[in-house]
Amino acid sequence: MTPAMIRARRPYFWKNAAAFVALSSITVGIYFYTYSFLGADDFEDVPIPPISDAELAKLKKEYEASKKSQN
Amino acid sequence: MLKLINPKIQRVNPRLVQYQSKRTLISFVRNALGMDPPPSPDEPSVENRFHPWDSSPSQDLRHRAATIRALAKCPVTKKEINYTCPYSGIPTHHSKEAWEQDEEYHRTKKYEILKKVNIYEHDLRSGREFPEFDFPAGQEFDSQVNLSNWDLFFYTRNFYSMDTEFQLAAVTKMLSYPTTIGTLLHQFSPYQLNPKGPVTLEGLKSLAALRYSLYPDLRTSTIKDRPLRLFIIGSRAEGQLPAHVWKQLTFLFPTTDFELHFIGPESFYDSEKKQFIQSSRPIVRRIDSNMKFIYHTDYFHVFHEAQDFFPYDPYLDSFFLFHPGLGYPDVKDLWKKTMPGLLDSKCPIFITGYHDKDSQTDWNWLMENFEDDLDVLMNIEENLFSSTKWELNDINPHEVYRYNKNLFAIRGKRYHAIYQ
Repeated sequence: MTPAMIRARRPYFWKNAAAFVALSSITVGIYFYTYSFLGADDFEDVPIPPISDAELAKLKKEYEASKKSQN
Repeated sequence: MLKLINPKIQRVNPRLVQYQSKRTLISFVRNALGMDPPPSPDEPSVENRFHPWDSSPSQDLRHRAATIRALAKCPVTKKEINYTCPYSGIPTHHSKEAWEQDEEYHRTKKYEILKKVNIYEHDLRSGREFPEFDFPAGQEFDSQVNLSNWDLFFYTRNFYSMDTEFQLAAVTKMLSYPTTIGTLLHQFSPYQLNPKGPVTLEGLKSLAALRYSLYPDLRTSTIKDRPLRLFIIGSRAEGQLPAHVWKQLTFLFPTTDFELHFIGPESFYDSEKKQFIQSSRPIVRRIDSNMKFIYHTDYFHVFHEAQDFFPYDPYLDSFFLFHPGLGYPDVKDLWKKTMPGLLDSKCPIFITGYHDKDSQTDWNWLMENFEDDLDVLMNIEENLFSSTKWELNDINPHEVYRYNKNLFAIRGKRYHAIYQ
């Protein structure tokens, strides 16, 4: 920036800087709030259907088979 | 290297060779990083523009130093001036002892201002390039001009970047006249109503009337008025400013037509005959479709008594007195004849001064002689668009001033006084 431009911008510098800090702190604040909110979730409210071990092994086998047939 | 390998290339394309030899690796790296080029030796700086006026490279300034020695008196000893101040390079005192004894001179650091006078004068005579004198043309339709100060004005009007004080001094001395007028009349004028600024309620009435004419899009009537008349009374240097300097005024008001009336015996200078011309008829110079210069080469009261300018209209006319020196003994009597005519017109009168004392003298003289006949429109205020170039008075080098430094405004009283 040329000295002339620095002199011309000087009356606005601190107000512009304050506006930048205010606006960016809102954005950054929302981002971090979202991140911390989602990070704390342990999904305990999601219901897991009751399932026995034998049934689970069967489902696993079906899944492997379908994967193989695709290849 | 290129030359050694193939001498033909220079014959084929000498510009290429020149270009390549100039453009070294260092300058390439500097350019790629966006760094500033090294300063050229011709660039003005305090060091390379400082010369004592007695041994100045410019004959004008040696001559001025001689004038100071011949005419000015030392403020301490009241004798002739024989000693050049080593700080400022300007003859200021009778002797070294007197210079050492002058406490006020050292306390107020007047030598710093005198030094500025010195370096600015040398810069104007240095013969460097003056790219700052390429003024911009019309303002783009949707970009507003900021009239807060010179820096913002130059920035928003897209002037050449005025990086140093030397460039500012050279340009503001000329531009001060049109810009001072423009900032007073503009709708976004930096001068606010009392108590936030110097404009009084009466002043706002007068300015509002002028702005009614300057911004016709804000009103319902579509009648096109005659051009706005700006009377410059006691015109001297103002009449000799180049037309493109005055055109800067119309770029602030692109839809308005202006007539500039330069009034005074020294208003028209004939550059061929090298003297001021007296003409019984007004000399008209049309600049372009919305600006016209009219030179009236006599005192204002002569034309006023002959009713040459009638009718005056406070919506369209205004008077400008650029450092008139109203209260000075040798011109006082002439102003005493002129002032009643100016006040009779009921149009605003804007008056500038060289320095605080000058404006105060004018103000006091007006208040002594015409207090009952005038309304104050603007109290004395530092002009935001004064010239930044310091000048000195050759008859008294301790009197330093700047063109249009202070500003105030008056108008003839609009209402009859009520007697009780």
